[in-house]
Amino acid sequence: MAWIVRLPFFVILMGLGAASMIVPAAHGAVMEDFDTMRVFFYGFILFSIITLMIGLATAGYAPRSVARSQLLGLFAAFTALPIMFAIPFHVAVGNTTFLDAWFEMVSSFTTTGATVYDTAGRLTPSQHLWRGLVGWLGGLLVWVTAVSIFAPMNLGGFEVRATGNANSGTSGGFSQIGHIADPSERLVRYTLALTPIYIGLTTLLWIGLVIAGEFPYIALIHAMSTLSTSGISPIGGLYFAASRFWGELLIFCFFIFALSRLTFSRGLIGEHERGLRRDPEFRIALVLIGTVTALLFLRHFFGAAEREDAASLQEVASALWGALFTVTSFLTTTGFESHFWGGATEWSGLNTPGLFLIGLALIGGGVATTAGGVKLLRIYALYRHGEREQERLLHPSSVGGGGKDARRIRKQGAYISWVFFMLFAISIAVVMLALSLTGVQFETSMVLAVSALSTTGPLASVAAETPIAYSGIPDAAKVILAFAMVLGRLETLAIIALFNPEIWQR
Amino acid sequence: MKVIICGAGQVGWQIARHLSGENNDVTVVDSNPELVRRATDTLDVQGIAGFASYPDVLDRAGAADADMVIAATHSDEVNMVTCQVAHSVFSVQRKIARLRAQNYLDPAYADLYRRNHLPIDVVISPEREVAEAALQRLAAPAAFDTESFLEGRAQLLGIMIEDDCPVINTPLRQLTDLFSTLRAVVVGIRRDGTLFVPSPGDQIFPDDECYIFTDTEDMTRTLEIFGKTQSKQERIVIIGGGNVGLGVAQALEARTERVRVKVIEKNRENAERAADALDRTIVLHGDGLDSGLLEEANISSADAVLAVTDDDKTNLLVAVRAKEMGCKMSISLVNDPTLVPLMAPLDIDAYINPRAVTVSSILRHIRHGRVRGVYSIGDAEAEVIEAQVLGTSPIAGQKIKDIDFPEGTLIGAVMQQGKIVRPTGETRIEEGNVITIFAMSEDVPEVERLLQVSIDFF
Repeated sequence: MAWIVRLPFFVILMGLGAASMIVPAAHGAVMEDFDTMRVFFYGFILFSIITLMIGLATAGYAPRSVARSQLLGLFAAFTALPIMFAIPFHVAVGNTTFLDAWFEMVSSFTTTGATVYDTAGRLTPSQHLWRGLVGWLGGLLVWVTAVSIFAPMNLGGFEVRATGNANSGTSGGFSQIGHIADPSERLVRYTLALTPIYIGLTTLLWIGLVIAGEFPYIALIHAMSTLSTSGISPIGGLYFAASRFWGELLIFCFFIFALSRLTFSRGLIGEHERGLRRDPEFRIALVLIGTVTALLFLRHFFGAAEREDAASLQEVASALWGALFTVTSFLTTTGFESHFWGGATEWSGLNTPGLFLIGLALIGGGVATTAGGVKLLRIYALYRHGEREQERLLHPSSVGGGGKDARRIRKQGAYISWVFFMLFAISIAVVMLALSLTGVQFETSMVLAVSALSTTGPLASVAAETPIAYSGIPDAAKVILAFAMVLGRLETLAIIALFNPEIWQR
Repeated sequence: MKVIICGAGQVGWQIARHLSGENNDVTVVDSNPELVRRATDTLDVQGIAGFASYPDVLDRAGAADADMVIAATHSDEVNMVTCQVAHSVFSVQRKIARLRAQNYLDPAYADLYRRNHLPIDVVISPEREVAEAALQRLAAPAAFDTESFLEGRAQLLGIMIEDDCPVINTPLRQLTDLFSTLRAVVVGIRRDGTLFVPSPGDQIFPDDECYIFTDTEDMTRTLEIFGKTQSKQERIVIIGGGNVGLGVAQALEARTERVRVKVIEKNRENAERAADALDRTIVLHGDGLDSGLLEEANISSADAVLAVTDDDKTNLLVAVRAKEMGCKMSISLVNDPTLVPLMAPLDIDAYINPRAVTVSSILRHIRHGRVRGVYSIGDAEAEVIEAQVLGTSPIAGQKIKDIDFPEGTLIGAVMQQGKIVRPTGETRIEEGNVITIFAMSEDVPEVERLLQVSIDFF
């Protein structure tokens, strides 16, 4: 088995992707959807053989820099693997273009969850399962690579807390360190550590949802898309879910895994953590969720007060829950809309501003979780920096407290966060511009750009004035969006790091 | 008594000087042979050059038959190990260690120093002692002298009586009747340069310097009665954010009433450390002598400035500058005793001598037995002695009026079963009570005889 580990990262991923095709095949067999079963089973065989061949060809490959090769492999995974995923999908769906199928797979794998197949009954359950599964695998990939690839390179949000140069921490003066963990070793170790947690949590949520009254297959996809924050649903969103409130409550509880990495990967990275309750990401998430929910609720409350007929307590409660759930769901960039979200609108007669949700999706969840966006840690760094600067207006020579880490976050952390924030803003502008060039309207292109970069696909149908259908936008725009999703998933800094001369140096 | 003193630094040196002066057999151990040589030259002590925690070094110093080890080297860890070695290898009875790092002093881990763990009988923290002294000075800005007794539950205050004092020209006996609930006793008056113990018929006149013994809870009321409005100290600027400054700031932060503290520290690392440890306090980084920085700290509206850097001259100059810029009160830390006479011409309200504070607190523990504290008043004119009453003492079981105290003595306070009691003639002194006695110097031997404290204890 050891030789598998030594294969290039991309080949391993490809093999895993090919192997996972057996799942929709099996599901198709059980559901008597033999067309899908056949296609995916053939896909499984075909790509397994191809992977095997590539694997044999690259078995002796020794990259000059394993870290670079992994980063490249990751980049390739998000761009090239969806092609492989799309081939059986394209064939199985039949009446679709390959571009649409590829877009769908990119959107799933980057945990965006934007779908062009939004009409009910267009896809068979097994095909929906494939979408959900691809999204779920994407989420797992993000979990593992964040800890094993991004953390050592100080990328993907870890740069905010980085103590020094990415590669400076070598064994220089420590003679007792006789062996430094190889990047691929690290990858294997963290994969083994995190995969059971990921699978276990998904199973737990699945069982919970089934108990809450959901159909098992829908429950499975919802569970997978909650954990991976992809927001993929076979029934056009949580709105139509059978489990209603209890299902939503369960899913709400599982959003926590997208708010802070401490919930699942505590102690893995070797930072000294102070517990979840004192984790800045988690706290800032709570504050954000609390304030935005309160704001939305108050807005509706005053809107309702203007109306003549008094609202019942149940209406008020359901409006509050709807706001709370949807706000959290968009902050984690999942994009599930609560069943009661619409209730708030009905209750007050006011439209819910989608701009709130766009803002939340932009902020995004925690570092090294499946969530996208700017990430809470960077927001925290910027907030702390701003707070400190205000203090310095009063006392220019004052010294900030809070410890070494806090100082670093306020200085270097805020600096790099600001760089990232600007890159993100520029990305939005560029994507918007490119979309506009393909003939998409301004507002639509803005919502689409944010939803792609923050990997919150369902944003398009919830946040805009009138729901935007991905099926209606031009092909060129789909390609642009697909790349924007990859950009949003990998984060601009990681892609820039690929062009870092240090990485290319011989 | 045979004493080994490890570390011939400032504190070690002073203790060696005191103890050797009291006819003890003192051995000084230091890793610097030069220092050891100078100690043996100047003081009546023996010296061993070596690393204090090494068993063989302690053996050479005569630890086998030593009664006490005082570990006052620069390193906390060496001090700890020294005590451990002295205990485990040489079974030395009493072990005193100076520990600086606040992390070792956390009360939560006080168990560590128990006999079967890390056997240190007395832990001395100079920074903490000095911080406490500074807090005492801050607590009674109206008093020119303060010292706490009975575990900090009683205070000796030195007060200058002004013309507007409400209790002047009133016999003390009458004061007792007027303020019957006040637990305070006037124990000494200095009039025209001579100190005397007042009798009940004596009156207080303007320009008197009064020494008053009071319960700590009644301190504010006492000061009010004697015409000193206790101005609230709300804004305090501390120059120097080292252990002392940080300790004071932390103590001030912990108070329930809101005190605005600003700390100025020159060293960036120290400033950051202070900022980390403090919550509400603002830490400024820069030179405390810089008037711009003092202005930033809003010195003109500050109630007190506390100069506690490690440099005496800086402390003095900062105190002067702060006063000049409008600060109401200045307290300065002075290591060099020869600078003390400068306080009055420089208009510095109070000073703290850290060495004296540490040495006296170590001496207090060394004077093992029943005398718990000795505080010298003025130019050794009188002493305040805190002592536990022995069963063999002639005063045990007697009423105060029946005790044959010499003329120049007065009981300031009595602690009975953990409670402070104002002494009257009817108060009965029991065995185990802790009493504080104000005694004129010439009467001290007689007081000691009454307390049955034999010379062995010194």
